[in-house]
Amino acid sequence: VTSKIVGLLAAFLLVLSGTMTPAMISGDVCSAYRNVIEGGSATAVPIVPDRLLTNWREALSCLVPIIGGLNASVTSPKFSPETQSKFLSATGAVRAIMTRLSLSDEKLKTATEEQRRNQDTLNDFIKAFRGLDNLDVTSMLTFGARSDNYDMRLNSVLILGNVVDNQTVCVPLTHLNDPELDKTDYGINGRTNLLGIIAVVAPWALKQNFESIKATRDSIFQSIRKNDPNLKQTYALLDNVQARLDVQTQGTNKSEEVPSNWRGDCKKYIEQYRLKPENTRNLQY
Amino acid sequence: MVETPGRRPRLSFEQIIRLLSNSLFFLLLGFLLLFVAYWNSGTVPAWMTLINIVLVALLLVGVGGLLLAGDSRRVDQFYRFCSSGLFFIALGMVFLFLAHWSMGSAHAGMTFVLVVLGVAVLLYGTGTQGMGEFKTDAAAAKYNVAIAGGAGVLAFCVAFGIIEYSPKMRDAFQTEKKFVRLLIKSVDGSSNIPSYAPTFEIDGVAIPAARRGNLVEVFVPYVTSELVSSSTARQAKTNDASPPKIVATPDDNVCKDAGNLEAFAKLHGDAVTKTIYAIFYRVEAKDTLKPKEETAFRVKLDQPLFDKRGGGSDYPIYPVQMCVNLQAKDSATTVISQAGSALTAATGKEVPQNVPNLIFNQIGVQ
Repeated sequence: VTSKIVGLLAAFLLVLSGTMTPAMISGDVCSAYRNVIEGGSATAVPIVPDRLLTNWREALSCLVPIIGGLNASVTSPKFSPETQSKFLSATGAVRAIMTRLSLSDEKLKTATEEQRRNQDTLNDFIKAFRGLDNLDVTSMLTFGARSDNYDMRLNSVLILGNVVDNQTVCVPLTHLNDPELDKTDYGINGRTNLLGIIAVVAPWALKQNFESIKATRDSIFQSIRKNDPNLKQTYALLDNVQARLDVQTQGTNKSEEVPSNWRGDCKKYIEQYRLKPENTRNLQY
Repeated sequence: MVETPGRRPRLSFEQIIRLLSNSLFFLLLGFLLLFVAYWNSGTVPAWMTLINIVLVALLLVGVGGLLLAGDSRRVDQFYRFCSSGLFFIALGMVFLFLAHWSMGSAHAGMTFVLVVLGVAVLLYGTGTQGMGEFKTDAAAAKYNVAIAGGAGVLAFCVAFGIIEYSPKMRDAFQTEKKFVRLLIKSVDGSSNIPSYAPTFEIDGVAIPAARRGNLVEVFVPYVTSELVSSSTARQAKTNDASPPKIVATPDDNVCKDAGNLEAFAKLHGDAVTKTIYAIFYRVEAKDTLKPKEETAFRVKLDQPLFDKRGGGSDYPIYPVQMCVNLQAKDSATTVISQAGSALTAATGKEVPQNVPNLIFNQIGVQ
């Protein structure tokens, strides 16, 4: 009887382990990150401890969904204090990983081939991030890049500037076509930041992205006050976007269509953002 | 007293007055003083103390009613007991015991009030009451009550004076240093204060500080003469035709959240400013953080705005919190300089030539 009970118990445990999905496993792992990030308050931003960032792939697999999960509570560049605290905590942790890998890259420049092998680089990080992110995550980082808090803008731009690509560039483009963007001082700073981000993609932009970047850039150029000393940096970035678009030829990415599923996601995002029809004409999706 | 054959003697109005003028009067007076003291000390909310007093008073009346039950003989016995020296000695000792018992947790002012009350009631029991017991005729009894009332009023006046003028009394005799606690924290999600060993000084003299999690509590010393202590003093200072000087622009170190900026806006420009020089030495190897950060924090000694919750009036908290940013700027530049390095040409497409550099690296994040 005892052996039967033990056998049944073992079988039950085997079945149970078979039904454990990766999400359930990662859920347990990620609870440590969530506990830290959500354990702050409106006035205190928690810092994710180094021990949780040692394994950066695991950390990233938890931090990216946490950032994306905040999207539901954010509809404007002014975050609630609680969301701001969580956002700063999560993006601060991602930034710490990026800094570590970036400095490691610098050291690897003078390293031998043997030393470079099996060393993680910032590009590995970017690939891993892109594998995890979606438009919710990009949306949060874009709101962060145009927010009223400098630390949020800094963290967002450092991350988004590296991970933005042809799949996600439609999000900062949507925000750049928001007529409310330049109504505040921090909005003007945000516009400068977002122009810097689309400038990253400009030389590599696929067809619809290329056209959207160009139309958005031209529209902003025509709308802003000329010779305004406060907009010096905006002008410089508009020129930079144009110069980087100009290097594209018929043989480069601009002659390649953006995949239809990516365009579908972008269309959905633009609809959800609720831009007025006259403000969506620059977005060619 | 009205005596009715076959029935229990009933209380007369005179008896009730005599009863009240002795035991309950002193008890309620004591509780009233306790309430005033608690309310002033800020340790317990006023409404909570008031409810406690009402409950205790109801309890006393209830117990009294049950014990006496309208029996004039018992009332007379109780009256005699309450008029005895032993009762007041016991009552005084209860007050003194309460003072001793609450000394660790209660505010010093509260303890002082209890001691004054205890001593006053004890002295009344040992001296004045004995004199009162000697006389038996009506005129002498009135005289006796007058002395008792005088002792109570005297104790009340002394206690009221202590409470009302306690800050001035303390200031008159207190020339030693006091401290206001300044909270320094980080709000950027990266500046890990525990990775640093900070030092703080004013005019070259080190001042104490303690770290609590990701914030540092600096004990800023001051003496009473440096304070803008009251609204009257403020008014006197600002009556010289010029409008009140309000600190206009917050320093970079002032945390920029709405509540903090609101607190900063209330600071008075005439208040003495203390400048605290701080050096944060990094004690952990962390590339994302600066190896050393030197900065200064300006504190306005505007005492009415000091937050006395938590630390009480001895160690109040400065209403404006300071923020420190320990992130290494070089690390941010390194990260942003690699932007776009992972973008590639689509399959079968050419790599663009002579791509202009991103000027974002030079402009920096806005």
